[in-house]
Amino acid sequence: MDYPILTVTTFLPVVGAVLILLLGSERLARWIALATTLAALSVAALLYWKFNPSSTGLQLEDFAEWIPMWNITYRVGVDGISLPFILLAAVLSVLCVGASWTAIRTREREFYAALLFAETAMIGLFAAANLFLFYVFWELMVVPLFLLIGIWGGPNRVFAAVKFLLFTLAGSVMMLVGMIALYQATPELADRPYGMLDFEVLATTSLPPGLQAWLFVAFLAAFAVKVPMFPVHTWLPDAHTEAPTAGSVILAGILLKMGAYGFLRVSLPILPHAVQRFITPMLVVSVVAIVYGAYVTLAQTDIKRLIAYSSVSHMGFVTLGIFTGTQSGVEGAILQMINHGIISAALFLCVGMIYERTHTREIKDYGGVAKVAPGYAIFLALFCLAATGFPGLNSFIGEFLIIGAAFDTQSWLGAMAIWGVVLGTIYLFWLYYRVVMGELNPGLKGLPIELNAREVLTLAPLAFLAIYLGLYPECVLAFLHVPVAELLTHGATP
Amino acid sequence: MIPDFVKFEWVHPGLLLILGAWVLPLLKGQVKQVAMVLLPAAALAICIRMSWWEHGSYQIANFLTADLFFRVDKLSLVFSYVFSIMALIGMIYALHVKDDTQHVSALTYAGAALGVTFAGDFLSLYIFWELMAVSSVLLIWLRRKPAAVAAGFRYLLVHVIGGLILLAGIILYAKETGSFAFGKQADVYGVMEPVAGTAAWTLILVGFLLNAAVPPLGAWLPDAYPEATVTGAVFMTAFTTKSAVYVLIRGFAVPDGEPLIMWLGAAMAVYGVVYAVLENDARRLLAYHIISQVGYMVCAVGIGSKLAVNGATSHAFAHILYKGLLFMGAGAVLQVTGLRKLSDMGGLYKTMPITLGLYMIGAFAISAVPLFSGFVTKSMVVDAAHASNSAIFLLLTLASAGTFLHTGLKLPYYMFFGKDSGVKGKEPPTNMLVAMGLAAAACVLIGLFPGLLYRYLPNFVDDSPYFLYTLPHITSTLGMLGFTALGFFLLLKHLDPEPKISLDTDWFYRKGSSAFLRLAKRPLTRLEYGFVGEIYEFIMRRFVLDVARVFRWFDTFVVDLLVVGVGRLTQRFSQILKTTVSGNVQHYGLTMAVGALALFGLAMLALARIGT
Amino acid sequence: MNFLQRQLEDPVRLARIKRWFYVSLIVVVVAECVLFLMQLLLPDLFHSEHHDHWFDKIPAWGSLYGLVSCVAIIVVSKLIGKLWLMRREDYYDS
Repeated sequence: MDYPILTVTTFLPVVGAVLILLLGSERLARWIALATTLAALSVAALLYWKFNPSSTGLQLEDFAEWIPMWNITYRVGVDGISLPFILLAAVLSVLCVGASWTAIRTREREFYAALLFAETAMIGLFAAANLFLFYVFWELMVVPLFLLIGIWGGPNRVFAAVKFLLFTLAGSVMMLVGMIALYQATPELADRPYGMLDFEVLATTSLPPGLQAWLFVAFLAAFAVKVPMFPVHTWLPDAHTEAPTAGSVILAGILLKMGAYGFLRVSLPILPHAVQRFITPMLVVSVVAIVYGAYVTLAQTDIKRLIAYSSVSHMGFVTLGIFTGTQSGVEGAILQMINHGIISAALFLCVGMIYERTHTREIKDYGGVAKVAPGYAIFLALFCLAATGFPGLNSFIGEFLIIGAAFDTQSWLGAMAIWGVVLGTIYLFWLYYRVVMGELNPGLKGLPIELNAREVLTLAPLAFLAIYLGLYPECVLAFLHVPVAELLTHGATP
Repeated sequence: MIPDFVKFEWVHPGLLLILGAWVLPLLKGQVKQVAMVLLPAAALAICIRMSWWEHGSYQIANFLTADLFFRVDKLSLVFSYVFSIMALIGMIYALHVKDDTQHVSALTYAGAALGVTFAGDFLSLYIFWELMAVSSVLLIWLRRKPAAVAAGFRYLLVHVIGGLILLAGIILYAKETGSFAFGKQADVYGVMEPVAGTAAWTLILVGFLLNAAVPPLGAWLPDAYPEATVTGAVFMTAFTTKSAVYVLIRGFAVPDGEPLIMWLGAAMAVYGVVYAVLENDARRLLAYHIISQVGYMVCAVGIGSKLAVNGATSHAFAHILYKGLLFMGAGAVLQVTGLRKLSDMGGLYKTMPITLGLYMIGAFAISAVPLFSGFVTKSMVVDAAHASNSAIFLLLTLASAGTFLHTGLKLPYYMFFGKDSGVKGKEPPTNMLVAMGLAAAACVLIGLFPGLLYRYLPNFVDDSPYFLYTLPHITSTLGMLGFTALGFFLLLKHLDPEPKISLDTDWFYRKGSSAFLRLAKRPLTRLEYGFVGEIYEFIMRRFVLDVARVFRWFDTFVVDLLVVGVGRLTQRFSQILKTTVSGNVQHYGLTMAVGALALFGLAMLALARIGT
Repeated sequence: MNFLQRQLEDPVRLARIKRWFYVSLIVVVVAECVLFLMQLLLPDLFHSEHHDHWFDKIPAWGSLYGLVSCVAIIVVSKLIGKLWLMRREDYYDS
């Protein structure tokens, strides 16, 4: 079977979205969405099956001429770094549909259509083989998210959506400028087969250091906002908190990773000189994000906001790992991105589920949930433990690799990272204690808090992944050895 | 390197307990009780079987390019025996408990301790270390009282943070030495010597000392142990602290001695005893005693001589048994009467004589009365101290007097004798008595036939036996004990327990933590919302909205005017044209045609531009 | 009335127990002193393992130190407790 699997995976959700919009039935919308996301997931599984972890370069690519005038082609492909993200996006999309099943009651058609558009944009971004396509999907991603937050979000949704929009656009405008500058700076690539702005081709170029520095800053603007790095992170708490559950899952699970992925795809291979120059500030900002983010998390009183701020801290680990520039550091960072995608998606799902019943996110309104909902308590315990980096669960390996690489680079970096883990343990255990343990809060009496079958079905795959990846991280790491090594050697020869 | 004959017949005893525990909730009634006893017995059998193995490290798995080792030698074997025996006794003691989660937790906890004992590398050690913390906290939480929930939470937090410190040390150690091996060679102790004094050494030491409840890191023990369930506490006394002693021996018992550890141990021995005078809660008093007794073991690790290592090991062995017995006794009283405070108790000797008798055997054992296990084990440590440092010897002997004072005199006096509190006791269920009897028998057996234990000690030398039942030694010990008792009876009225609590270093994270939180809450949130967040507001307001307002003005009054002007022009033009052209359709068509032409022209222009 | 009750609640029997206790204390002290003297006079007969410390030169050292330790512990602990460590039971409940 030689059909364009990747393109199908990417655009199948759009087809589903269009179908939803055309058919006009509110009730059918979610069923179509479910079918589409499941179909996309199965096609993505095909990708996984056909992929060869030990060969270098892009695989399973699809190619088409697009804008010959500017020598821009449509080219998508996967390598060991992008494949796990595509799979993650596919899985999380299915779970988002499951989580929104009963939570969204107004304008369902538009909601599910937006969700599916978002999925296409996500998968397309990771599959993109050149910078132009990357940028297109980067921008495309913003629209459905803006709608998701702004229409179906919480009480302060418009503010949060606009803030999200402005922050992201400010960054991506800089990326556009950078992209055009890069295009102008590499005229010699005009007659190459894959055209301009192709990632693989760009990685072999050697740009003047001054230009590299400016380009790095331009792209940094976009990526740092998305990750988010301190101090441009303030859009995240508002966006995550006001978004509906599915929106938070996509935001935390995939969107944040797009920024770090950008570093891996654009900054590290194409701008190695600049990366070397900027390593120290990047490392410092990462560590600040880890510790500062953790402290602010401790002070939160809203559960969703607490988890949102913890994402700032966790993504600090990721950027720390990336900028150590070592094999284990980058591998750990990528693994941690996958892990964080799984865990924070799970945590936001848990919060969303309980919010559907209690309509409050304040910690003080909770307590003693274990007494009425033991199943929920067990799931939440598993995910909280996983988030703290407990050995045997997924985050441990990622953190271990990153902290090891950090100690290799500079001892104090490793020490701060460990301090971040300690703080993480404190705030997560404390959250769990206040919400789940102790006496039942009187405000919760009589509410049917325990999970129903659909919700268990939504959380179960994530729980399984958390344990499976914890015991057998090699299943993801196996994909990373070759491409990360390639990435780093390219970077080493500026 | 695994011997062939065990390939099919061997399973890691720790994993046997951890995984086998999950069978229990599926069984019912008598079958379940048999299984409860069978599992630790099987683990013990496996451990005994392993004594025929060649000593060394066996690689059992590979995880992320690091090898995991299973190490068998005298030290790990002797600790594994006592851990399995205690697991067995504990399960017998807990046969009457209906709560399955407690059984699963207890067996997981014991299994993890066995895992730590046999770990030949730091990775598997760390995994089992964390597993121990998580499974033991359940034994506290399952008491289901608010105080227990809070204490369990503090316990978990302290242990996980200690684990993280250990992890940091492990990572640094791996960087320094290039491998994760923790004493891969058999029968070698003090393996951390090559990295002595480095950050890795210190962090790993701190992690171990925290689990051994060395002050100032040990406040979690008296905080959490009294809050555990009756049967859970018995398990808890055995495993966390003693596995910490084991890893301390393995890692830090260097022959020349490590003064830091030695003095910490001696201070610890006295610290526990001092606090025990003030205690009112029976199990908390015993918990402070654990600190005191572990102090002997830690001190012996610091002394490091062959005798000291033997002493630490044998003392740990005996301590697990007699401390278990003491906790079983106090737990029995708690179970039957519901009382935990000494100020509420008294006069129980009338109704619980068997419990009293068994308890007193444990008390004599801990006080090192001749003919009991403590005499043959504690004396080894004290003698090693005598040979090394006189001040340490005096401190340890002081602590011995104190031990007898509290555990042998004060506790039984106020619990069983003393004033008549009017509480009606009765003997606890038979299984508890059987368990206590087994432990008591072991205490006496070791006391009468010390050679049984000595044979398994790491530095045991067959031809020069260590003989303690010499007349001078016996009389000196009896004298010390007797006069301690005299002192007790003379000062009896000063010892009456008061219903108060004493502060320990856990004050720092119980009262101190609110100060810590205030730091997080006020300054940081002010920074986050007031400053960093404000940047958005600032940029939005000034550079976006204000500029936008300017543009709006421009738009309304300039551009729009132009548009309106064009519109008016167009209207007038169309008025003129209206007379010549009949309908709107042609008007539209005209506009469309003009527009299309214009666009086409623009496109041609642009293409021409780019093409050049 | 079990065995223990009979022994302790009868004042005559209780006084007898106390008497035996004091007697045994004296016996032990005497034994210690005797052994000490014998060690001085016939050093090779008794394995003089550890006689290097200053307190080993004191006769009946074990008994003496036992009493001293006991009193010291009680006094010092109570002092520290009264001055510093003891608080109300509900001290931590905020």
